Amino acid sequence: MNPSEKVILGTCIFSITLLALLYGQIVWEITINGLPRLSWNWFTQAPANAGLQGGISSILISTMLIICVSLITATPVALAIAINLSEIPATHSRGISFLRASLDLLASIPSIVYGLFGYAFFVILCKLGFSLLSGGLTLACMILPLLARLFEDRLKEIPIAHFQSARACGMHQWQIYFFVLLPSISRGLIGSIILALSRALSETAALVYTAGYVDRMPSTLSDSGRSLSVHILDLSMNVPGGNQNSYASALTLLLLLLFINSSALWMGNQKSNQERIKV
Amino acid sequence: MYHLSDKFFRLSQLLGGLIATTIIAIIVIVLLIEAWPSVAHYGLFHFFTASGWFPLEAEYNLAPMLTGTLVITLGAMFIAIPLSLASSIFVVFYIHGVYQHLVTRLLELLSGIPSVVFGLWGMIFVVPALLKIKSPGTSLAAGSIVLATMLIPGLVLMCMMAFRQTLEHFYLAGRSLGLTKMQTVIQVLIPSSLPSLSSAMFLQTARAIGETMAVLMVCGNIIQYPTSLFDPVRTLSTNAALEMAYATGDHRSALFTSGLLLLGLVAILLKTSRQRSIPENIACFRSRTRESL
Repeated sequence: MNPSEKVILGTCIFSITLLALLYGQIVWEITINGLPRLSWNWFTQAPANAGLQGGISSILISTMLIICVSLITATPVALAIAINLSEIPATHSRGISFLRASLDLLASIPSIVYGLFGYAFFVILCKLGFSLLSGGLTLACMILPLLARLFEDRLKEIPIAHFQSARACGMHQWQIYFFVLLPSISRGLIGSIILALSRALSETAALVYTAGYVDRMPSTLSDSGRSLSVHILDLSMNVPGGNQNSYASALTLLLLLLFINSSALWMGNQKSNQERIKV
Repeated sequence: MYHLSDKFFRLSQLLGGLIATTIIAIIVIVLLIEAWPSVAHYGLFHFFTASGWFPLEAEYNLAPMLTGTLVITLGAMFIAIPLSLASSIFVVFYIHGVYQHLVTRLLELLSGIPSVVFGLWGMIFVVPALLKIKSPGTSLAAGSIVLATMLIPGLVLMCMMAFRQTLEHFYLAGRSLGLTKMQTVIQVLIPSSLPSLSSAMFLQTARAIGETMAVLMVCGNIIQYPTSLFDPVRTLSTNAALEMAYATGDHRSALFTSGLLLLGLVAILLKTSRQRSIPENIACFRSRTRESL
């Protein structure tokens, strides 16, 4: 190995060490500052005094409701799109390549633009007000492209023989999908939904002007509610002395994401149902 | 073949596709409608030639914010690109088996960390550290550092994917010509995966341009043209996030114009990225091998 190569390799090792230290520091900082606040009460009490006291129970509930709304609305649409995309290659159809391009654009629109759109469209034009519903619907638009892409990948993994043999049995197309193909990748589909959930969980900018800021316990979907990431933002920006609880909320969010991602991974790694189907 | 249920199934598929394209259309139309009053009233050039951003005096100059966005993004990419390129080379070519898998999983986890958390970290750690060098701490540099930290895991993953695509075609060929590992990487694999690499970079740049909350927390948010790395700046996205709460009339409309501008920037980057993402040299390579077989 000549000297110049050694220098390059050294740079590579240096940068990966730097990254390891950097992310280690971030996680360490948040854990060490947030851990003392985490307790049973933290999860079961409502926030009091602008979040300085109490826990995050109402915020967890709001977050959950927003995510439920977005997943329930986005999943069927994403599934339809994914079936469409997986059946017809882009080179064969103008419509499909247009659909693919618009999904790509949808995926890269900045979240603040989604926020503006959600505010103008769902909150004002559709008269939903600052509510969990308009927040959830805005998020649904956001996670739709991701979900469609993940579903499409899963669908493409199915061997063509499954489709053909189901066809040979005289099944209709919807029967093939709902009784043969989709059940065979059910685990992968659930894994994809969980991944999309983690994306929805980490969203802030799109929610501030759609779901609102209120930290009360929501009673219906048309109530305003604050999601966990908005809570972190509010505590650290607008509440003096809120850093401690902000850290604790960030730690909670990170733990949730860790749990969600590992369960998605577990779902993906399990022996898929596909292999159990005898063709 | 033409059973009624088949038709329904096909119809619902089409409906799904229609919804996706309609959402895009609605987003663009809503932004256009909301932005129209200010554009019609002041004209497009007003947004770049007005005396400044003074909503009370009906002066809406987006240029300082646009500069802020571009400079912060450039700074972030300047930090992120070399670091992630070097790290991805190390991970793909010098770490093997289980460890590589482990590092990939870790990176995936890191890339899922919400931007607010990075913003929080920047506020508590980066800003005070910069304050020791030069006040006020909340600055362009802080924004770039936090943004880069946010982008690096995703960028490393995408670079790794780009390398893995070309790996099977060129790595062994390069090694069998007597090149060392590092020579193969530098002289063969980086050039051949350049299209995917640059596509990844454009995509991440688009992400950086749109990022709001992390930047909002560390940049100071003062509307000005930055003259040094340690000046506070405000970006387009931050501006919309900060002022939307109380904006009315033309002011609100101007904010929607800035949203439209952001959308335009991202669309241009995406178009560039898509044009580059087809690794044509590899496609040719494949077809040629097939012919020779």
